[in-house]
Amino acid sequence: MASAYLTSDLDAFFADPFFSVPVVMGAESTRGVFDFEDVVRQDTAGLDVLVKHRVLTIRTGTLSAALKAGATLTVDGVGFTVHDTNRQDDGLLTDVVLVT
Amino acid sequence: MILEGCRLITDWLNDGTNGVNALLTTTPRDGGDSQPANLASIVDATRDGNVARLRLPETLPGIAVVPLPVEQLQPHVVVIDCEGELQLAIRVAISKTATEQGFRDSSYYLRTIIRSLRRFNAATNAPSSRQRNNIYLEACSELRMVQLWEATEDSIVTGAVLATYHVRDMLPT
Repeated sequence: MASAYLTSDLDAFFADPFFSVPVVMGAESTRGVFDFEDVVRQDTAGLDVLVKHRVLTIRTGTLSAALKAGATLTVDGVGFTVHDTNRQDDGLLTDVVLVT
Repeated sequence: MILEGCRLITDWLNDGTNGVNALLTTTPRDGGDSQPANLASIVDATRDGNVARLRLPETLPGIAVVPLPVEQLQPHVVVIDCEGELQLAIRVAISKTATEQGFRDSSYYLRTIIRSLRRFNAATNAPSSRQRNNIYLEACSELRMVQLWEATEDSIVTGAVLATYHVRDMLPT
């Protein structure tokens, strides 16, 4: 169970415009931290594939259950499709994997 | 040997009659499945910088022909030619936001690659089309289709046909 301190820390963290960006999904909105990097994976042939790793981290529950694979949303005004969602650590954060 | 094998196969896969895009229209499909888009690029590691650097072609969907190890080369000097087993990975890659569509299209591409290679391998195929710089792709000893792979964090789906050719260097000295 998350303590009130942790909850308030996360509130402050995601409210900080230096860290977080606006996220809009339909009529819902929240703020999240967006990371984008290229990473090398190996496919089943054992060969390299350079993939775009776009992950939006939000507080779990700040978007409804409509947040699932196939949903569309905007991050800082840019449109994406949700590919996967994964709760992290104690479940207070959710990583949203995005594709274009 | 590596260069010739890559280019022979790549040129064949690009062929206007026997290549992948040419055969794609006649690859059987389930009703309701539209024909996958023509491959935008069919390139190899000797002529495409991205593929040489073990990356996918710049434009997708695409095919990249990549050399794997050449094995069992004959070291003997008493024979007038040198034979070995050349392995090639014929990678196909597509970018689709809907992963299942990427799987679907990749499956049709892979089957079409096999169809094209079977024409290349056919005895009726002129030996001249299997020879380059005195390197002769004599026979295909193995064809394997690897499991399709999807990047969880991206929209890319890849697959590959692994082809092993018995190759002969007709001018080894």
